[in-house]
Amino acid sequence: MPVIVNLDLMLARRKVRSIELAKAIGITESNLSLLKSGKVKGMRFSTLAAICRYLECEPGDILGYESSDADLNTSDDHA
Amino acid sequence: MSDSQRRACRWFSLLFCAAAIGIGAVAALALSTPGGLTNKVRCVDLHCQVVRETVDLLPQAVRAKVEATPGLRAGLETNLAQARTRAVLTAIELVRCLPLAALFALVAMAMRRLGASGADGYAKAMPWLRRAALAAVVAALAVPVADTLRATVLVDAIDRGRGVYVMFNASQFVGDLLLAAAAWASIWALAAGSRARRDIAEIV
Repeated sequence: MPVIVNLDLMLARRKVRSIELAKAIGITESNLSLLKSGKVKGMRFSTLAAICRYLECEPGDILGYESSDADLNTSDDHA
Repeated sequence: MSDSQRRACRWFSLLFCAAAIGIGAVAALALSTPGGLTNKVRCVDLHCQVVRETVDLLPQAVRAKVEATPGLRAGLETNLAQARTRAVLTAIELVRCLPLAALFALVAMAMRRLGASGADGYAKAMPWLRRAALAAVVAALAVPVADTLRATVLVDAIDRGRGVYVMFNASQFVGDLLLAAAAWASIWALAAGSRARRDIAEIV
């Protein structure tokens, strides 16, 4: 699933440190670190909204997408 | 999971481990002695004594016939005294006992994993619980198989060439199988819940 998290880029642009953002949006630093590295299965809309609010940006500034044909056949059952 | 819950799991693990060892030990002890299968303790008014009930091993339908015929009873006793018959009966009893001992041992392992410190105890216990549920199904299936084999061996001793004597207690079999199926379904649901919880934990 080639969804790219560009949070690092936005943090650098806004000159905001990870720990500051984590505290502001109410998630742990380790979870923010996982989010930045893309090692999570998903992201809540509330988390995305909080990040966008704090960094004053749009969801598209944080998330990117690389086109892949494999994404056309999605399944709800990933077990 | 809290420390007290982990401690309880460890105690349950020991309990099930002791039950598994107990089943194996009792089976081995009973089967290694000549009267192990047939000797029973009967208590009347706090007075207990060991009595030899060979006919108790027989199916209900054959028992009355043997009890009424001294010759048949003597034949059965002679047959049971043979080392070969005892060895066959031992093997048959193992068919009945081993899945039960395995079931308790597997539950003990699952409880041990749940009681261990460290994260993801559920995930580590699930495979053991699944194996335990499988052992429960096998244990349920083993009872009629063992009953049939034992009845066939014993009835053959008094009625040569009778062939396979099927012993099947439908209510007991269905009850055991339903219990095993319920355990299997519960473990499947627990595993699905645990998987869902892990998935949700990876969503920030």
